[in-house]
Amino acid sequence: MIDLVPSSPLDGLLPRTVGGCSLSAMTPAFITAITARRGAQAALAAALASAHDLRLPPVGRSSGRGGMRLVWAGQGRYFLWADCPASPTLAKGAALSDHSDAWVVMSLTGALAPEVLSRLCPLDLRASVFRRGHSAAAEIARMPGILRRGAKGFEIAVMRSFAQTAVQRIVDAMTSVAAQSELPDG
Amino acid sequence: MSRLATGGQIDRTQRIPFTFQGQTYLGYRGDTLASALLAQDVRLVARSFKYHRPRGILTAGSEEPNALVTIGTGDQLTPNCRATTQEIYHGLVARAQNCFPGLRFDLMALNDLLAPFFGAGFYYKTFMWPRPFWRRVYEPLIRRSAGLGALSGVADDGRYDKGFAHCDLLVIGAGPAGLMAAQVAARAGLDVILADEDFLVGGRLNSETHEIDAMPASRWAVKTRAALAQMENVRVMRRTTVTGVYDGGTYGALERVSEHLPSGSHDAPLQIFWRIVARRAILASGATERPIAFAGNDRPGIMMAGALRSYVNRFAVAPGRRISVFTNNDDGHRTAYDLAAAGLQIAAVIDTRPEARALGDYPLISGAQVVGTRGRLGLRAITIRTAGGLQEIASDCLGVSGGWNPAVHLSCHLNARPVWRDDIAAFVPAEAAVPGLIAAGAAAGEMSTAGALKSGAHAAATVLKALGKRPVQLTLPRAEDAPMALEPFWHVGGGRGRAWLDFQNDVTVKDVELAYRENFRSVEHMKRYTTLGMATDQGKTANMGALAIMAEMTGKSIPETGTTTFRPPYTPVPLGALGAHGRGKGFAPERLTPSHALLGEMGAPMLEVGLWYRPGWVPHANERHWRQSCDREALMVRASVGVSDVTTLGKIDVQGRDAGRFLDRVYCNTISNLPVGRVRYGLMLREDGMVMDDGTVARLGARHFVLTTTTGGADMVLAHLEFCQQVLWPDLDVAIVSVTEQWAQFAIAGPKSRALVNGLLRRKLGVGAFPFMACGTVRIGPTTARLFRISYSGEHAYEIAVPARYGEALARLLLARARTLGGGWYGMEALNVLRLEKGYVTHAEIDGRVTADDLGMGRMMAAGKDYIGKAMSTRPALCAPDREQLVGLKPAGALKRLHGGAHLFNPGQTPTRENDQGHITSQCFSPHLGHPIALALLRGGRARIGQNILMVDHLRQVETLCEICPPAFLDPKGERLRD
Repeated sequence: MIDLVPSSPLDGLLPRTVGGCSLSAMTPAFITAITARRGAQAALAAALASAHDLRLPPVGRSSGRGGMRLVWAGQGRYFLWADCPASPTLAKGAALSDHSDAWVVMSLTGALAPEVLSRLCPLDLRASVFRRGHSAAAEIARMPGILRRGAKGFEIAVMRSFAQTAVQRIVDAMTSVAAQSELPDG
Repeated sequence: MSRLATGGQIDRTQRIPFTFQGQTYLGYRGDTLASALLAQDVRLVARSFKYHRPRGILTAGSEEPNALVTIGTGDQLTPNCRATTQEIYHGLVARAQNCFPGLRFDLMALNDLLAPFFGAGFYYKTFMWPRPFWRRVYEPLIRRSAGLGALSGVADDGRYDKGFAHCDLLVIGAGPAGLMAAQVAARAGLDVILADEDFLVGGRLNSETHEIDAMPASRWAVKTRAALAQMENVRVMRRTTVTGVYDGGTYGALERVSEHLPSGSHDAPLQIFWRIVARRAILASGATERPIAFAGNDRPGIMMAGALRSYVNRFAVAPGRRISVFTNNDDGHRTAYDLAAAGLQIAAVIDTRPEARALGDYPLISGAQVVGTRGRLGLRAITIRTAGGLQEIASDCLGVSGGWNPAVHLSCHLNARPVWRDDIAAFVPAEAAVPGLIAAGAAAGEMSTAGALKSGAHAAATVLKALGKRPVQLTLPRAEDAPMALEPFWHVGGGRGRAWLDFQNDVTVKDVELAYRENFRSVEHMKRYTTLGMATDQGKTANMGALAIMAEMTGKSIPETGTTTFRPPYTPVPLGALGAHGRGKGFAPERLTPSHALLGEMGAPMLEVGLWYRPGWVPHANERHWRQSCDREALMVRASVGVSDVTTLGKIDVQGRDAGRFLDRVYCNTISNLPVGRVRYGLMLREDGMVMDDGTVARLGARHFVLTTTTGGADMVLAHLEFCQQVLWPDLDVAIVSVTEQWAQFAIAGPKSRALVNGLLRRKLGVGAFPFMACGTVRIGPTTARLFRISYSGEHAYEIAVPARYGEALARLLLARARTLGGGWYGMEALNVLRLEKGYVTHAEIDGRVTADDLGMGRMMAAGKDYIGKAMSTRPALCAPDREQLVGLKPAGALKRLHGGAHLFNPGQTPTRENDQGHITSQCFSPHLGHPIALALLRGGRARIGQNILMVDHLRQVETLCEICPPAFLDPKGERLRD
């Protein structure tokens, strides 16, 4: 019997730690693209509440419970990052598409993480502006991605095919920022 | 040694060796290259642009026009570095530019003797004849002899970075006004970025002997910086020049991160180009001292008076032994006062104002002018003119002050013009010149320290009010409040010899007068005619003098004459910094398919398709040429089975109650009646009736479709569908999301494809089951997959999609199984051959100018419904029989060469544009047929099948007689597909 072995483009690339900043893989087991159906926002919110005990986040925000996150990513577009598949009952208010393999998600942590991202992402990521739980569809190192600020740092999602370039660019920025922080203060 | 025994903001415990012109010197930490050279009595540092005149250091800042040097060794050279801003570091190697064989003796100084022939615009007049000589002889000659530093010609391997920063308030300049503004704003809680181009915070405070709150002003700057650095909401960016102002509160800034450190000692970037987005900005960029033009004013040793104070007070350098000052204002007297206080000998202060008074104990000659100078490689004496006549004064250093120009540049980057203020005889920024930007301090014309502090605090308070913040009360520090006392004086008339205005481009008062005489009288014309202000310093020290002279001659006032346009960047920005992250592969991210590693192992060369990397072919060990691999792969598919990765094709999930209706409107053919479990070829038109993209539509459920697009068209089609859904028909219940990345998809094509697929499936496909254009869900072991019976090769073929995590495993399995059946992998080249043999189109044919009818697909356009592009595509001109239509071509004569892009002509007609009949869109060698084939768009092509046409490749001088045939060279009835 054939048994296809799964692989991830992050295999062998992560984790990386440079100068107190760490990049590690955190792709959730299940990612579901949830596209709210016209006029069914309330039905979707209700289905989310009853099936997953999750709140439908407003624009630019995410909601979460346990290991589960619901990330806003565009007009009527959410991604559910979870350990279990999305409940089919969500289909009452939304179109669901399996995206579990479409993304790789990385976590960037450390004191210099905001400085690293400032080299790659044009968004205003100051802690006072882009707070914990905020999310954005963002350009990251010239790649389309999704960015979220979590409890420990930033969560960066890029499409699977971009994974290798994304890791290279982020590690380059980590190296540059770390080296800069070590320069003599003169 | 000319280093003063005490004083200065240098660290005398840290001695730093560096090299200039091959000779090693010692400087101190805190020195610039200019101050370290002056401390070693090196006054001659450069040769001028046009006349190769010996030149020294003029200023102590970024406005320096003269002292430009090349830094680096080997092929890693940075030309045109300003010695006045470059910090010295251990092992710095600098050399002078624009001189041969040496700095002291420069052969090209011959130009100086020929100066009468080299006036403004000389080359337009001198090199007129013979005409062809301009491009071949004169221009190369002029180019070779002109210019300052040169690049090595080898790519710069320095590290550069770029970044984005955001703040409530950007303070540009950390002098008294900037420091004060930053303090007031930061205390009230704003996020502040304080940027200054210097490595010391304080601006002019470091160059003066003033006191603030009864402490040396430079110490106040250090204290204030330390206080700001303690605050979390403040970011002090030293060595950072704000270079440009752009829309929406965006500022460009260049941070010189490690140019002051030996290379190889760290991994930090040399520079970072920042885009700073600020809600508000305060322009506290200070002011630039302006020279007075007089004959022979360019000799090494003649410097700005304020720069002399910088060298003495900040760097503890004696710039000369017998120093004179030439001024039209009180500020020049400060130089004499400070220098005398430092124990230096003042030969004389020459003040143009008859009523001028001395500030201290030094000889003052009022109502006088400097009319000449002496000293070939360095100043030896000056000649002055007083009421009593001419008089020579021995002097090896002359400080000149013609007043101060507020640094208005950034306030003009959005096209505002500065406004004139008579009291300081200078331009200041116009109000609201840049939305959200306020000028403060000397940049706004507040020339005293107290005035600058007050104006900085006031600007910050204005910002706080605008942003709804309450200012925190801060007592203004006490400081000098001397008014600016000056009498405008621009140039000394009547002297013998040239009086220089623009030192960097060698433009003199005479050149401006010539421009006037030849009627280039607008400042913009004068600038271009004389090249004044067009060098890398942008004429920071030159422009005012020149336009004052033009104003004099035209009899207009200076404000009436106006300034030229200020443009970014304020100081030069290396292309390496602007292009940071964009070098080599950094230019574009790479998208890799699930089979990428496998194909790499097989040595397949990769082709770029958009951002994707796809294999061109998969070479066997004995194959020397790509065509060998390509032919083998194409024949293999026709004979047994080939596998190819088609993950890159766009896949779009379309769901919802109205999905069918929606697709009917975006495709020209009908989709809504497609049964579940079936696939249909679809053609999407643009509003203008032209074909946008083609692909397949598979119906997975009653309300669930999956579209495929071409690889290159994926983004465009998704954006188009989103536009249609969100803007045109928001009332439809339809949800669109790209699933391209979710699925790894492989094409399995050839007569043995069914055997290969069946070998994978848990439930085999029965005989006759799963016909052409069927689709459905299957299981490969425990994995759920999607199977499509579609073909882009003309063969019995499938596409199989699995969740991308299984893609690599499936690719390896498919390859292994295909090999056992006599097949293997095929690349893009073979894929192209297969589709051409079958007459299938791609974006080479769908070039944005063809209609469905042109492609022979007119019958697909459904009559009974409306769809995007319908109105236009049914107009007579878009379905006329004489339009260029898709046909096939094959060689009809002895010559068998067909070239993509070559044009088609009727045999016997001259092959010129007027007779053009169309062109070849794609071509290949068909291994199946044994000769080249092509697809072409040919005028009235379908009616000409069977006739001959002449292919002419004008670039390669090839003419091939071709036979026009139907586009499908192979199996026109599609029996192999349906088999």
